[in-house]
Amino acid sequence: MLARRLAALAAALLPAAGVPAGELQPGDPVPDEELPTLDGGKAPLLSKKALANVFVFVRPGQEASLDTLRQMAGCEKDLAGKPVYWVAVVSGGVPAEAVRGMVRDAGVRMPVLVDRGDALYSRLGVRTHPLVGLADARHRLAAWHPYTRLNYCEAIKARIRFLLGEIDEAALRKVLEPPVATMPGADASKVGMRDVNLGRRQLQQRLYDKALSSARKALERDPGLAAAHALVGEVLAAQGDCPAALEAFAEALELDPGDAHALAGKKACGG
Amino acid sequence: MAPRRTLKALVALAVLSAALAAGAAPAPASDPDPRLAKVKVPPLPPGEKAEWSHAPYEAGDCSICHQKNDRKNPGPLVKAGNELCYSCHEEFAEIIARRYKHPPAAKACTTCHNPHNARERKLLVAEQTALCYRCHQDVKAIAEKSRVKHDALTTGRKCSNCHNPHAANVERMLVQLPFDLCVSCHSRDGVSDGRGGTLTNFKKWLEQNKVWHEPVKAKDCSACHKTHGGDNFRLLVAEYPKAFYAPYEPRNYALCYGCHNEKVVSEPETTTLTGFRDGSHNLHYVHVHKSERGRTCRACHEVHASQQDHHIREGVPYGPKGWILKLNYTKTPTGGSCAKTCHETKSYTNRTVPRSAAKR
Repeated sequence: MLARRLAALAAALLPAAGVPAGELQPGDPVPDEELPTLDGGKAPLLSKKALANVFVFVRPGQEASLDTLRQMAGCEKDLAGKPVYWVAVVSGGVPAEAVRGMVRDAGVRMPVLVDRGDALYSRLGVRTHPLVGLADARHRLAAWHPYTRLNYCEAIKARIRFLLGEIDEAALRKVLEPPVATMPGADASKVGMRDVNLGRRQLQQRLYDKALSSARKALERDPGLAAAHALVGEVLAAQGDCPAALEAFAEALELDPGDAHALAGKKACGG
Repeated sequence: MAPRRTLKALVALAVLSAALAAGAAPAPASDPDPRLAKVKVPPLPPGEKAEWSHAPYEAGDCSICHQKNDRKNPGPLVKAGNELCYSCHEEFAEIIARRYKHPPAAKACTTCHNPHNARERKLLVAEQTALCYRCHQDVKAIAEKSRVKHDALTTGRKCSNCHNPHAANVERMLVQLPFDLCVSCHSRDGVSDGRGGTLTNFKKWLEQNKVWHEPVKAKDCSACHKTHGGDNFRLLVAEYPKAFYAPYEPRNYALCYGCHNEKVVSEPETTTLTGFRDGSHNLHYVHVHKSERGRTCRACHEVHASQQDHHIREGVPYGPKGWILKLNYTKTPTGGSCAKTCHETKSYTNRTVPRSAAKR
């Protein structure tokens, strides 16, 4: 069930079809094995206890790999204490001293597995670096996430938090496909609200003509702006013209039945 | 000059001097970053023509923001800092809540905007690019000194074509993910690169070719391209051979080797590094690793998107007139073959046929 969900999610989040970064597909079981580590010990690729397994394929002498490890060091720290198992994987063909230098420079804590004869690389079909793979608690591949210069750690953290059950698909998607950061003037109604807010301050200072002018300016920008119609009503009411004010309040309430200013103004005018 | 007029002029001069001094004054020494120092921004001096005015200032309503409605002595502000601006510009509640905030914007709107009047649009205190470069000297140096320029910096909304100077949901204050930004401009036919070349319409290309290269899938054009300017053609972040043929030299492929293992080309024999092998005979090595007419990556691969797996292209522009040389590659159950174009028809085998497939 989860495997199908992961596969469906991965497919939905992949913008185009084609061969994924590693040949193992999301939803496929990840073969676990114990590998020698850089410090002379041994460690498994996957954990039996963790809810999320993260394997980071890197190569020394490569700027993107170093950047990845640095970013993952930050992620590792941010998620400390959570049931996440991290390992880095390097090819057995690269000099150990170069790997040590890269790991030291990046400041990661995770064990570094040495893939002698590139057997694991071959089994998982990994051919590019850097590459982050994620597997769930049942050791099924959740995703391959290739390197990106921007938002890499945020994206990996979101994928992990999804596996931990901390966020849902919508929240994950929002991180992987962040919404456009629109400019302040992009929305006419929001620009119109600036005029309404200015008009309201002018009304407080009994600058009625100016307040009315601000409200009308707002309506020029967005004729459907309920708050601007309400402001027109408030100014007219303050000037003692309740019949005209009630018309403006009615227009505001037609656009937004819950507009608090229009409701209060209507009541004050006996409407 | 009559004494009263002289007195008025002196008072005006004193007010103006004080205002200018205040405008230039940095924040107290305790402020950690002097570039983020709070500044008071007075109206433009009388001799300078304002092209844009803030509505309350234009209307002469100083008391909208200040405690007194007196142009000469408006007194303190009615609210501190950005809260005053947000009381009208309420859309900033959403903007400033975004994940990545531009420190000058979060600190004080007046770092970049004059709340009274200005010569620049959006009430900016200086021309937009110049304003950005006041802090971003590194970007200025790249933009000015790079051999290959990017028009995005100098046309349209300039820096704001790609960056939101207030806050954003993508690192580096990008308005969208790099890919979405790039494609928003690189989606037209016949756009010149200014050097006699034509830029690809990527919207169309990616729609027509569904096998996308990993950085394209990851929406990260910046994995391969610099955006402010660079010294490699097509703003590439590292060396990549321009032509069909090149003598094999690993540093010429630095761009590809940023992700791909150079052993894919340098090892004559392998059973793990690539599927493009006949048994263990590495065919990447055969094609590319030559001291003279080595085939470059572009000879067979389309780097952004292709119709076939492994980014294998249908045809490649060849010769001085760029006519299309068909590759005629076909994937087979045990490997692949290339029909006669570059060479006689040749096939390779990299695996045995699964029994289930062989029976059919």
